[in-house]
Amino acid sequence: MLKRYLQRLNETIMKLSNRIASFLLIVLIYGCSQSLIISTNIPSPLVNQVDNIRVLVNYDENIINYQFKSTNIEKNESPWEIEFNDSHKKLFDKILNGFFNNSIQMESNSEPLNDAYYIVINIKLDKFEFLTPSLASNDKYSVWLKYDILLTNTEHEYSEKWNITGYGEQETASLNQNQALINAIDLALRDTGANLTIKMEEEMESIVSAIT
Amino acid sequence: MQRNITLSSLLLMTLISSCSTTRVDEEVNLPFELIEGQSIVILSDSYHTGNKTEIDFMNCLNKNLKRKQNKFNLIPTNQFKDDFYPWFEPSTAPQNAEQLPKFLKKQVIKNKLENLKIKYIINITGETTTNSSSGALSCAAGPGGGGCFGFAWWDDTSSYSASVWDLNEAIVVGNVSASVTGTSVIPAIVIPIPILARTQSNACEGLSNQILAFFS
Repeated sequence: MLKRYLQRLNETIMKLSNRIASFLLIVLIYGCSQSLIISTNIPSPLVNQVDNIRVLVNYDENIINYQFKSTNIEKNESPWEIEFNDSHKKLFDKILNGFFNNSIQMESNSEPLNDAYYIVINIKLDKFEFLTPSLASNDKYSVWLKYDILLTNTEHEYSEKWNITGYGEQETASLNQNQALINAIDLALRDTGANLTIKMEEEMESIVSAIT
Repeated sequence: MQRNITLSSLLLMTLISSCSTTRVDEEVNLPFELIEGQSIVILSDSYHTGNKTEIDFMNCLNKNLKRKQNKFNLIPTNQFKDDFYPWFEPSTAPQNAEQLPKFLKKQVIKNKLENLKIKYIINITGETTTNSSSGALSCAAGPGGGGCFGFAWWDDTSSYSASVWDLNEAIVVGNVSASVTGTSVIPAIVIPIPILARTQSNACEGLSNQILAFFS
């Protein structure tokens, strides 16, 4: 009887200690992780709007809702969790609505329209990379963004693939590290908008001629 | 006793204030005028050119120039960048006055500048750097209490210059600069007492006064 009681007690202690160890491990892993929420506000671009061009925009899932989770690259580096929400989508919405007064976002799995001439723009996030001061041995955060953008017309006679990039950096100086990285991401998103605007202006003539 | 304390305080104050030196400079290239009601904006050189002007410094300059005068309208840097997005981002902004004509060719930019009555852009370059540091400071804590012991010091230099660009003529009408060097010290006998040379805020004060004198 006593032997059975001691065995049960031993099993309970073992279970409890396993749970405590797991809990401590979770606290150690996630307690040190750094979470950021990005809510970049991109202004409307100061550009000439093009009338009478119908644009259908098809966003990839990683544009609509992107979450970045880093793995521990170095022992002294805490993992990062960056919630972009719809910051990428808002960026492209602002730029495209600045150029075209008639742009519509395609619903997922919807069939493309066949009764009108329009430009379809497919946008996908290809890369998001960043360097921290400890990884780069300097005192700044650097952020790179790369997007694949495919433009086609109804008959697919016109097809253009653009690689649009964005870069942002922020010195740590008096900022805390989370704020410095948020600022660097904000700058990279704004830079993407700047590069897309420049590309759009360069290519606008061929876009217009593709559907007229 | 009272006299000794007063003398010691005076000596300490002299030591603290003598820890930084300021140098300001002004250069006017061409005659110019700023009519009341016209606007000015302050921008910093891009990090793509290696410039590292701090956000704090730009905020301080915007705040000082807004507070100290009512002759011209100062458009806050961030508001200007948003209003003219994306033409004054680090990768797109003009890096010198020679690049201004290319910008002013764009009718949308020209119209907006005219609407906001922006006559001058003040372009800031510079940063605060630590030149040298020395000394040692160690702190320890135990069940009976804790404390620090030692002496540490470092030299900071805050050097900034402002180039005034005339947007109508697309030329540099003048330059002003401020350079502040200071030594910060932390003596510690149980309690560390930081005596900091506020070089960046002194440079901000110096440069904003120089800009105001330039336009007066």
